[in-house]
Amino acid sequence: MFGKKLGVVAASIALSSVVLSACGGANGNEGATQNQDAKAAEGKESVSLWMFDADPMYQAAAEATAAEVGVDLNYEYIQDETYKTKISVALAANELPDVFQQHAGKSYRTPVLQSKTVAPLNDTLDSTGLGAKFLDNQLVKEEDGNIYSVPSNISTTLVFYYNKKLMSDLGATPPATWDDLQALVSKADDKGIIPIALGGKERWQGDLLYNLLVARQDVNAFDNAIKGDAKFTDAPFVDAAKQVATLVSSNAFQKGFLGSAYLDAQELFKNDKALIWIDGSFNFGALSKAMGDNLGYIAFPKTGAEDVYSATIGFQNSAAPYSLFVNNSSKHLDKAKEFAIKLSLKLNDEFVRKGLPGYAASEVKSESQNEQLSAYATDISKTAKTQAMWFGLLSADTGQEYRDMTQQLYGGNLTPEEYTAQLETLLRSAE
Amino acid sequence: MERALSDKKLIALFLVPGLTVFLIFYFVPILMTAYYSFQEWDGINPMAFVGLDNYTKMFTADKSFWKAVWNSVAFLLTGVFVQLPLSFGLALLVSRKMKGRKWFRNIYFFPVVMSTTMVSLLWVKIYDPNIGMLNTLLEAAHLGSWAQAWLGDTKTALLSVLIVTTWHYVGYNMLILFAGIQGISEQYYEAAKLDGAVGWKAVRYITLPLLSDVLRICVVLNVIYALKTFESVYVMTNGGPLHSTTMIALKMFQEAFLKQNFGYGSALAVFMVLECLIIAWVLNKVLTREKIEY
Repeated sequence: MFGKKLGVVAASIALSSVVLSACGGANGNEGATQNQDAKAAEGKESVSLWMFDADPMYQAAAEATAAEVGVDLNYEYIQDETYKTKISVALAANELPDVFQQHAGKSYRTPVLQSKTVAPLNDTLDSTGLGAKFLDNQLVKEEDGNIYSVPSNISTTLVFYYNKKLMSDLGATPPATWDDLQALVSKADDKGIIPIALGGKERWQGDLLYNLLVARQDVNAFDNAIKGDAKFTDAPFVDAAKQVATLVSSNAFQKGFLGSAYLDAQELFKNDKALIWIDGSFNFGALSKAMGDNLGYIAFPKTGAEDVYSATIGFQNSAAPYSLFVNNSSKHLDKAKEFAIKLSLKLNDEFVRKGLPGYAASEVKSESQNEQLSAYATDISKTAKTQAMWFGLLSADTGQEYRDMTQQLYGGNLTPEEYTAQLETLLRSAE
Repeated sequence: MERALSDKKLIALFLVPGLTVFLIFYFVPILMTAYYSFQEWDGINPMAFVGLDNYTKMFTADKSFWKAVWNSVAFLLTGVFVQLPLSFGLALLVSRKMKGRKWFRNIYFFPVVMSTTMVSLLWVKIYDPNIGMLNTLLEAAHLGSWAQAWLGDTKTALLSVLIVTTWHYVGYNMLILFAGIQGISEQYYEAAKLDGAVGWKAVRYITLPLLSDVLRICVVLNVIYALKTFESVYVMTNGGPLHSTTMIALKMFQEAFLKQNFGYGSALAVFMVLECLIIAWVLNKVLTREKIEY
């Protein structure tokens, strides 16, 4: 009845007319074609790029790549949460830039592929010979045999950070077991120190902590349950939910943590108000810079039957990693493809330079790592399994409902048994 | 010129461009949204007609929908029964011929000129249970037991947001009411004074009745604002914790743009449009009465 693009634009206008003033921040959807006519007049092709990573490294790498490829770059950084909204509207309306970054996980990758707006990169990967530089399984081949994306981030995992100064003030040592953790929580709480800072407003931190607690109970619990070989009401899920309830009831998290934004909670940790911070390994650099030697790291304690090297929770998802895609309507498609692939490799060089394991071959030498990052790299190399965060394996609506439900567990609205029963219903029906 | 102004066809002709733009950018999207509300659609794949399923889900299966409706009612009642009386009181105060009244008027109006996002972020910091000013002040005043996790507790989150929106917009209504009060002739008060109507009696029998049209406008504006509230809630709580501050507009945003349920999001949008129209119409009917003249 209506054209898809017209439909999405009209729906967006109507839905947004009342609400979107707070979600702005970035400029409107310029899309791939804006500024390109002006640039073309100057005789140089231009490539527009949308990124959500705030690290200045990304813009620097993009600018260097643009110079190498010989294009003008229209770089637009968009705040992470705003990006998720903006990209979904741009996808549906086919108002994408030439190249764009996308989050890891099925709920983010599937709509990109279904929209049929992204170009296969096989030809450029083959013709330039750059495809051979990527390590095995780092380029995701879709069902039609095409490769539609190149990586934009290395594998990152959930990390247990602690504040060394506060740990020392307490006369305590980092916890190795569930009992240690409980004792440490109790000790910190008694001394008026926030045991664990948690940004409950965005929900993902609590969600990932629960994922990890389940993996510590049984490393294969989620995989078995999602395949139908086990249930989400089985012991590992219930026991981990009980651990969450125990942490909440023992004041492990700051007052009002359900309403705390991630960045506000992080400030508590950085400013010596909170002892423990559970966050992604992508924050090692920023936290080290802010806290110096005060930043401590340990492998997540043995809170269940599994040992500390049995598994970790990964933000990446091998089938749906953080990626760069190229808009197949780009006016300079070939240049855009070349730019995306070279940018991916340039970013890889930057990761390798920082001493992190890259996703492609690199001639760059690693700079020396700080002690904590070295310990993390060693631990990760010993870790047997990286369980992708559950949210990344679910569709957008199921994922959001799942996070809402997990927040209810943290809020005490659901008992561990009620929570796991609802989890079973939700995830089973989503299958 | 007078001939032109009496020519209805010419007037209609001049109205056409504006009306066309209005129809294209206002009515067409609303009609299309109504159409999408009968579909299951993720914004990318083809739509599937589902009839009234989205509306059935809204009224029967979505628990947070009714929470959002109740929260809208709470915003509405607060706007009419708390914010408006406060605004009226302030308007009366700044109408009095006293020293510095201009200054007070500007102070009370000042929050209105600040953006909602800025105000909301400011109050998020004030309410912060760990480092916020409010709890610190309470503790300094030896009222530490009153300290709360204001925005992080389901029991206090809605009230905390309502306080902020009341504080933010009380000056807006104050200014409208102040302008209304300024329009009431002094003669009425002088005549009333002769009959012994001073102070509260003058307010009750002169100011309020002559201000009824302005009050009606304020009520309608407050109600519509309450039903459409989004920005302050989005910034302060994002509808949480546990949906305790969720609103219809926020749910609509989350369904359409986060869950990619454009069909259900459209159904919520349609509900909100109808809700606003019906309540505004009812208010106009109920509050309209013959103009009072003394």
